[in-house]
Amino acid sequence: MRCQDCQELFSLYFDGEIDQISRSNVDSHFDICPQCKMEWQAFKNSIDFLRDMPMASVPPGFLAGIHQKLEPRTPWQTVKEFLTGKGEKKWALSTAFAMLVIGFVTASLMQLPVGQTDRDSNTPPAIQSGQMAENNRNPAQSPLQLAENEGGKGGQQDFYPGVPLLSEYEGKDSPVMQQLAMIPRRNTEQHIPTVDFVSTGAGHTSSPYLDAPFGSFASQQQIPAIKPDLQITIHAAPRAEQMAIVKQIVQSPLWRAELYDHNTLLLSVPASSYDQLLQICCTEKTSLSPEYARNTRYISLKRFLTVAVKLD
Amino acid sequence: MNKDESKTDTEQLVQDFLDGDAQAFNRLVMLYQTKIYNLALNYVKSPEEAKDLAQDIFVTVYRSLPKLREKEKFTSWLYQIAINHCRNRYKKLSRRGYFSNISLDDEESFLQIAGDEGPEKLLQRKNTINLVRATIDSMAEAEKEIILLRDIQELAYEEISDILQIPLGTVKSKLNRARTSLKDRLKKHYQDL
Repeated sequence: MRCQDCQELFSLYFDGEIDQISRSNVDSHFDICPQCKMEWQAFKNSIDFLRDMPMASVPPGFLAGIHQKLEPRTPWQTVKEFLTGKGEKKWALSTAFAMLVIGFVTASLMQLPVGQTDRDSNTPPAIQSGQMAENNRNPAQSPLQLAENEGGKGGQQDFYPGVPLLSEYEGKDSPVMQQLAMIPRRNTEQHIPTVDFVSTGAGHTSSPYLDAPFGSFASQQQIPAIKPDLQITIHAAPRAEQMAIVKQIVQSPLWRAELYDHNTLLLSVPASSYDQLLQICCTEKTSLSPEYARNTRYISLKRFLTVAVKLD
Repeated sequence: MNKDESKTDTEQLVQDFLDGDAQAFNRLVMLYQTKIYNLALNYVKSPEEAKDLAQDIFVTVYRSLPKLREKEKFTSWLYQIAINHCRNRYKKLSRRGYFSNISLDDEESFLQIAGDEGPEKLLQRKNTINLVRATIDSMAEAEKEIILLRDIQELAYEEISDILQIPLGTVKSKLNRARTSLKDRLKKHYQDL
């Protein structure tokens, strides 16, 4: 028997799927060929080890999750899946289109309340009714609206009468949070902050404004945008100590941090980095909500956790 | 429970399910969940993604089971669905660059190594497991699949032939090639094994 023929039978020899004659031939070849015998040992060791490897246990809630997936989906679940990227592409596209339409409708509805913005206060009462506002969607039918936009907003043309102007989304003193970028500003006092702060992902870690108190950015209208998975509150301590913890959090490249309001940071923390966050945040001067989140055992294996860090 | 008993159980459960016993599906899941979850884990690496993938596989099984003609081939049929789901999810995640953000260190969290060995031995074993896992990952897709099905999932040659839809002789030759490739890749680390 040639060495190559012998080695081609290794797999069947290992599995005991070899006929008696071939087995004897392989055994006899081993007696005269130490090289093939050595190769056989290596072959056997590799597969033995592979078969001894431990199996991971199934995460809790596995069966319940299957039942949940078998239940009919609500529209909200479909939207949620789209947002988390779990939906199929074909659904994602149609949902994206639906969301776009909903976005436009919502934005135009939010424009309706009377006397809340400069533009509204200048608009004749007659065209503020729902029916007339509907008519205003056609620029040809609302020369008044167009003229007012051009004059009042420094020559910017409003292509979608009834929908807030772009400048209304981009107030000079905002936007701190990306999540709120699509919410039109209403009746907020004009307040010019001392500095602008725009989160740019990893680049924000070298911001020169880190030592400034969050109050400097407090002009943002507070509208809850998302619900965090857990909240870490840093309790009263010398301001410098609080800022030191915040600085550590913001400077870490492990997660993305954004300012939510004047005393809250929102973090998107990969589950694998949660330990490091706890090391920074979990001192006797902090509290967690829910409290059991101190133990990583109880943290679900989501890919990203949304954590709110609040200054008390 | 040996393999034959498990097979008889499976056939009975499939029949029960088709006869309208909803609990039979739960028992089928319990019977196969660890294997399917681990198969998924070998493709997608992260426990969360593997859980979702394995659940999707069972959802497809639930919906398609009434269409299964050869009840005695349930296992092969289940793995066929599983492999198709795994391949699709793997491609989808690869396109999104998902795997470039996952390191082997992330995988350690789902390895539960039990035993009375001391910490040094345990660490050594953990490192070796990671080494073998990395080696399997570095293999060609077809080689990796056949090794997973035979040596991790412990399926019979005939079942692998059904699942991958290749002749029995091809299964044997491919398996030998894949195992030899694994051995050659691991050769330089034998002192650790």
